[in-house]
Amino acid sequence: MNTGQYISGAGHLGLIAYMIFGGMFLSPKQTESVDVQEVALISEAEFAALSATSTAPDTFAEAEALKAPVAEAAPAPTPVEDSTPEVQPSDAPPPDVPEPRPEVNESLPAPVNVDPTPPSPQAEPELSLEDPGAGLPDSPDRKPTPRPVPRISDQVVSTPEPQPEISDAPVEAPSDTAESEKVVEQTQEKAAPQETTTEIVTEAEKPSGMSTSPRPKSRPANLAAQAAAAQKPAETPKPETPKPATPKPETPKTDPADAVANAAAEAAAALAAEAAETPAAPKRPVGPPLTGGEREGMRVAVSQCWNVGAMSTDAMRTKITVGVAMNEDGTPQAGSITLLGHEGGTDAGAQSAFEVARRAIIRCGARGFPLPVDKYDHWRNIEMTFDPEQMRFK
Amino acid sequence: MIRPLPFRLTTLAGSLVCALALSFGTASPMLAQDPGPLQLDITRGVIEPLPLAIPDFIAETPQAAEYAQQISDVIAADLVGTGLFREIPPSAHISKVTNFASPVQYADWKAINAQGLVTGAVGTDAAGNLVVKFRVFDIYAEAPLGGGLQLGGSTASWRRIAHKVSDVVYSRITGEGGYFDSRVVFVSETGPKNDRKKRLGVMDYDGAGLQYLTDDSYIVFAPRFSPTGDRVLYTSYETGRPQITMLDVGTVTRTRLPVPAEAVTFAPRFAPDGQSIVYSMSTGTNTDLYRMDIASGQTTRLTNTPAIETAPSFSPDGAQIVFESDRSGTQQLYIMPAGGGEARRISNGKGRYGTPIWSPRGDLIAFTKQNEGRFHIGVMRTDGSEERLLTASFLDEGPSWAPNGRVIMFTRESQGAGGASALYSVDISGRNLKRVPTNTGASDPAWSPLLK
Repeated sequence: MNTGQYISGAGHLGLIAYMIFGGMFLSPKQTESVDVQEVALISEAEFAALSATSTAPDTFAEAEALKAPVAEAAPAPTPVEDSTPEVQPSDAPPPDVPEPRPEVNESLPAPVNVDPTPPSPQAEPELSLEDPGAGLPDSPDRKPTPRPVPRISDQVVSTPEPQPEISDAPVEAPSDTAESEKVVEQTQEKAAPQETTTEIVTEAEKPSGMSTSPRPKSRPANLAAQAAAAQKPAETPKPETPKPATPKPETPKTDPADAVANAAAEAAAALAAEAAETPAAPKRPVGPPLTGGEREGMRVAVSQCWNVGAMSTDAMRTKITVGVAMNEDGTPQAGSITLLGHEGGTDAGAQSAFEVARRAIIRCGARGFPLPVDKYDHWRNIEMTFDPEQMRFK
Repeated sequence: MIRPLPFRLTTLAGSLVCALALSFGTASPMLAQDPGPLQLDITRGVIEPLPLAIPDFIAETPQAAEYAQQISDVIAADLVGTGLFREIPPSAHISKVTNFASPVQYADWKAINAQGLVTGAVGTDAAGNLVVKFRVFDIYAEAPLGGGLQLGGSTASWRRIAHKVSDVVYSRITGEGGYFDSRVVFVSETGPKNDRKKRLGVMDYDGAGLQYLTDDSYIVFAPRFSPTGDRVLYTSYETGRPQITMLDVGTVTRTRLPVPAEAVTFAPRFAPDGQSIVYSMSTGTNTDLYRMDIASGQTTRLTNTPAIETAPSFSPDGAQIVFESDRSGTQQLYIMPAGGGEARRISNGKGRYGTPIWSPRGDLIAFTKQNEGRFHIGVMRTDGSEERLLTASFLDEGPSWAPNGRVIMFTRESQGAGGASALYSVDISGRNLKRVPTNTGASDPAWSPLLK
């Protein structure tokens, strides 16, 4: 008996020692690999090429917008007066980028320029969930700020094609980069955006972008409760348990001892009874539960329309639960959408948050949510919890 | 090897019971006939401007025709200018609103993805005054947001009427107050940097309706509105040295405040009750904060340190004052009781902090921060936590809150000898940074409360 313990002890000690020292020996490797990632090899020429390309689109963007009309104006029969004013602004913007645009606004005290203001729907897709700080695409307001710059630099990073067009200003830049195109592209992903932002974009973008990025999703505190709520995915995360659990009779099969089986059966029966109390059961067969993917699809579908941009600060502190009855075609019954409860915030905030949530459900459900008809009984009623915590700027 | 066995068996049994209990706990709804409602957690949304349709208001009388369109244009500009909304151009509208009373064709507005709709009509009454009626609709809920409203006013005040409509629309859609029917007092600047003429100007929040309150014969700076918006406190060099002065906006009459003639006084600000003011006074080399009852002229010294204390700002409840002080060696922000006393430091980041101003909602303090050669406008909670920098530039300073505590206006000065200052506004989320149109250089904005 003692020998067994000694052997076990020795074995464990050896294992512990291996874990400690093995870990120590392993760790340097990991840090090395991190270092390797950080290193970015940029020769001076490449750097020059980078900065050249990054500045190039700046003038290019300005010039293209203004020059196009000029070129048209020259051959076209349109009066000469048109072309001359066009030329003057094209001279003006390059020296001081932010100033001239607002001046135009100033001269019109009455904000009559309503038509240009609403950005075309194309602008919308540019908004991403990930960077709310990157802001809204209301173009007139952005003009005075250096905001356009980051977008342009993005384009350069992704598409090296515009080079032939850039050629009017910095000809050397494209010629330098032409040969090492691939390399530049790779390094740009890490180096170029930083350069452009620190040098040019700081005014508006740097602080807001950093400070308003939504926090990464934290690990939920009540995993067990969430797992309970997520009835169907419970299958996958817990492979040992559900298989025996789903069909009742199977439970005895797995147990090794009678005592265990009894205890398990008791616990199961008690819990099942407890759970069965709540729903008022329509006695008809229920199909298999929704898969994780189907639930995720539904979640994403609602999220896409949940626009928290115009929500009050109060509403942004309110977590609400909304109930909705669904039609078999996947559309929500608009009249059935009700506010079931809220946490945090005020009643007014909850009401305001509810209106936003209702809009999301109706708007994105107008063509039917992507839900499998054969599992209708599983989504006949849906309870959605809208928690804006992660969308709140901190 | 005999003893461990029962031990293992019991642990096995225990873990099995636990596992089974857990599995039934999670899977039990499946055993029931009715699976119950599907539970979903939505934690990610999108942030984008809400599409609004604002068809031109209907002119009910020929005299109202010229105002109807202007009013709807101002409303659209107000709402779109917040960055929270975008207007769907009228050319895209399917159903034309021709009668204020006719029912809304929700399907037509849904088809163009309008989420909100503002309809209105402008008429004139017997006295020639404008009467503006309007309604706000939630298109997807197929219901009006609140009841219809009617506002009246003289034709000369049509912009204010439009701003008031915008305020109502804004608050019905977002659930918080608007800030459109408000004014901004600021220092208008003309001339080169070394010989700059400064005079007080007051204008609508959107730059319209500019009026001057002083001439440019002497330098003025740092104007502040009273809580009712009828008076302005500012610092003036009229006597040759900086002295705080009060000015009635309606009558444009100035009142020198009873401060010692030999003292330098500056950075005045009203208490929330409008009855007293707090300001900085320099005697010799030392600057401290004082409070004065306007009616009696009685003053109370609030701080007494060898350091420089300035830029005081009351909390909305009037119980506390936030100010800047260099008592720790660098400019930092402190909060003390409104009657003076122990101050606690709230700014803890790198750099220097100045010109704090308490949000009208009371939850945040805006400030100017100088760090590594850059200036920032930022906000922090009143305990100094959750500091967020909203802007960065060569020189940003002097934040002022919009009446709803959601937008900040500040001065931005450009670099170089030809640099000029201008007013900018930014949302407290850091979004929607934009220049406030002024036709001269402008600095030191102070936002009024919502007008009555």
